[in-house]
Amino acid sequence: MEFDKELDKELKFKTSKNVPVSTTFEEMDLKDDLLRGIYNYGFESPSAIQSRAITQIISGRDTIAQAQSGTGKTATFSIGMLEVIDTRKRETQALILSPTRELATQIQNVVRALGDYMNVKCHACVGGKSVGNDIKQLAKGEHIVSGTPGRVLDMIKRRNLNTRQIRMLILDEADELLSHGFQTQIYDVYRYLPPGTQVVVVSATLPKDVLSMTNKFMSDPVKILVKRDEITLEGIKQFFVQVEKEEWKFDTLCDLYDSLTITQGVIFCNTKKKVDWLAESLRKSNFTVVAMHGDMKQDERDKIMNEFRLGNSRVLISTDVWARGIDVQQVSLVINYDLPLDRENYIHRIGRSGRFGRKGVAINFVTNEDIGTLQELEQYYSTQIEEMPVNVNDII
Amino acid sequence: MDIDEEGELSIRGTSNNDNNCTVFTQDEPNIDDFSENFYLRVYTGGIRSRDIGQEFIEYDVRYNANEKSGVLRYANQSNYRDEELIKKEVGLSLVVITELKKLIKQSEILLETDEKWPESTRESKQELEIRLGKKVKKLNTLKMASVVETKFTDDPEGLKVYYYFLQNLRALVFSLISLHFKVKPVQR
Repeated sequence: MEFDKELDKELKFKTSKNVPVSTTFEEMDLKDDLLRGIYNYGFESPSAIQSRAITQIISGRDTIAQAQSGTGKTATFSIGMLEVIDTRKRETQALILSPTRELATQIQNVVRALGDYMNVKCHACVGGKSVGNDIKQLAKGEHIVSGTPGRVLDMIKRRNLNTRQIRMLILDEADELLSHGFQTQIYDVYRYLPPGTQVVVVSATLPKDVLSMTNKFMSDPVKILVKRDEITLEGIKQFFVQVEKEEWKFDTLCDLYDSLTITQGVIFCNTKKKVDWLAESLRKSNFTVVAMHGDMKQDERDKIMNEFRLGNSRVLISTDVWARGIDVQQVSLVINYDLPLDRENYIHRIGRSGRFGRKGVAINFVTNEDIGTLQELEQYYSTQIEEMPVNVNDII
Repeated sequence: MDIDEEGELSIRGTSNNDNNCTVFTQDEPNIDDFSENFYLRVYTGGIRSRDIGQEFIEYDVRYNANEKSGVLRYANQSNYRDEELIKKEVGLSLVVITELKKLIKQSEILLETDEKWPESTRESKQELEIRLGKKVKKLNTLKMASVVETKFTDDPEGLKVYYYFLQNLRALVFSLISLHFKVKPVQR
């Protein structure tokens, strides 16, 4: 068998050399209307990923952009995309795919806010919503579509979403979208896009096996990567509480409830059933909580999301449907009632707190059986997860 | 860093010839004395599963007598989802060397012995090695998950000292590595 040294070199997946860094948004040479939108949104100076990736996306090159949670990845691809879109053409020019409906909708809102002065049309095309409305909106011609893979594919197949003018495909939370659950749908969407469509891949976690997969649909991408031992945020303090038995977790949580309500908090369980059970048990003990998972009706999910975003509810119990991308800046505490089933989602879950430089606290409940798993996480990311101190309130 | 016979990647820099080594005394290390070679190494890791193989973090600090600086080397190995070994190396000023010696002295770790400590296993291994001139201290055991676990051993006090010393040392070493290599993700 031939040994291809060039290919072998490629397999190392290092951050590309000589990626220019723009220290201000002005330096990026953006449209005036877009720049106004950026400042109006509250951004002052670009984050590390924004300094590097925005101009690369604008240049038209395929881009792989990795950055710590809550450091402005959504704005990175949104700004890049808004700069290259021609608003005079009422046709879909960019497509963003994300793994959850809430995330796709959140992205739509960010795009709309950043593009506020550009008269840009952005539609959220997600499951659980009226197909009729999707068809109606898409018929009007939306510049940007942010959606979940299933509904987007459906709209393309029905020819309601015209892909002819699409020049950019963005895969947010790419490692999740390229996992087995979504892979075939993503591939199907990709097949409908014009040849030469620019592909942008984004996530806080991009394991090597996912990076290896990207050469199937990306050509000579610019890579902006973060090593696994640099991916945790210093602003998020991580703790664990060791309990002998699973049943003891509940009492521990009740003791912590007061700390939870200081600002806002999210509690993660590994199954929908457990989310329901925990919410019910806490309510029985007179604690106020809301719960959300994938088996609920979409209007119910939306209602809970809205209330939580408004701060009307303070403690949310959820599954990994909430693990990735959701940005509620007031969240300062994350509790892993169960440890996540994979190492990536640990980063995503704790990353619901500590948004854009804010402080956060993550508390892991571990039984004697899963303390080893926690140690593996700590070592893999070269981070420190310490035993929870008594005065945890002072830290939150 | 090299691959030893067992195929394990490791930093291991010193010779294993400990025959003419002497024992540390209570007053050591002398914090302001730079006339002796100083070496410190920590390994934490073990075999995870067939898919992942061996994972470890290892770091060492080397200071040669009378020089103006030392070297910190760090390695993080994992084959989880095709990940690879990460290696980093930074120079250390005498201030940091002094601080490390202070950590050692204050912890009184040099007074401990691992005779009564649980034996390390293939799955879980933790090694500490401190050398000063011809003196050497090696303390090997399992990776303790929490201070609580030390309570169920034959030397809870000794292992507690060991646990907290390694935790403090790790905080210092990781901060040094981050300072050199990590791009600040947001400016605030």
